[in-house]
Amino acid sequence: MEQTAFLESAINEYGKATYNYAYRLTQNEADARDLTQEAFIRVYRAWRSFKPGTSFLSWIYRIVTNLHRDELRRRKGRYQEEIPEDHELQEYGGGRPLAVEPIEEYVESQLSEPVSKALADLATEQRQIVLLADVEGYSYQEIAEIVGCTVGTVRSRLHRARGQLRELLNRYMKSPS
Amino acid sequence: MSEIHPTPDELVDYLHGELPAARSAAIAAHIAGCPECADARDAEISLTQLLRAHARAQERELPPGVVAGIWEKARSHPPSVWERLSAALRPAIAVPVAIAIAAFLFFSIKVAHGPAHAATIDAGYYVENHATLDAATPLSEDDPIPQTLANDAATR
Repeated sequence: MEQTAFLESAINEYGKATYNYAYRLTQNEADARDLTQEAFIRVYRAWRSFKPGTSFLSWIYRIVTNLHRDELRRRKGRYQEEIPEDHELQEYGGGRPLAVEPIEEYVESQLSEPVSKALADLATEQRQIVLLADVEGYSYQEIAEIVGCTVGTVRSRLHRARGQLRELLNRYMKSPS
Repeated sequence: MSEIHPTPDELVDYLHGELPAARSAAIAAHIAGCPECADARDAEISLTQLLRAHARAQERELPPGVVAGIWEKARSHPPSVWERLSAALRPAIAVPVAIAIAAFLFFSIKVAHGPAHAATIDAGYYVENHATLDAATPLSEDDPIPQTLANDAATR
């Protein structure tokens, strides 16, 4: 397939998914636009290295994830990994599980902001893994390949991220501010 | 029903389909008879549903400006020489080429030199050197260079 046709097909089929992944990762439209553009430029340049029969979406998610990590390093001088693996949000306390409620309506009206804030409060690498596991539905092995870490790291980050998310959600839903 | 409750982390792995089949079946059987663990499972499920619902609620179309920007950049930045070279040297091409080069070198060297022969030196050569050495320094325990060898070196 010719390079231009490859790019056109990639944008048509995966542009929206890539943009939404970038948006969830960055929580910011301008950054998501830049990230999406840069990711597709990488795809255009490296189109021959894509192996037919493998998942294009996994490939471009890996590119987006790496670009995002590089961008954070560039901005802050170091990767946002201040929250160590065993970090616990001590001040929140509690651990009350979320009640099973009509979630769709709540999200539209009540929970959108607390969920956004809770996701934004996670460390970047934890947010990546929660999004890939719970929103995108990837297996731990696939996430490890996208993010570039071991399956064990995916597992432990997901466990901690979900625990922290629950605590943050409890906090933000109690005091929405 | 097993009396051992699954840990919260195990429940997460269970719901993500990341446990061995036997353990997964054991947890399913346990949850069926344990209201406490069933509640914990429901809480984990509701968290995942919440995240998915949030993602769906926030889903947006790809802005047209992004697509235009991609094409503009693609046209203004054609692949560099290095990128073209990298693409040409991808494993699908590089490996067969490397094998072909290695095979060519192996056979061409073999043909050019023929089969290797063990170096043969006449025994008389050693006898002559030994005699020369003994004559020069009969009581020395050192190993001076035999005269004939020194001559050989000088003529090279």
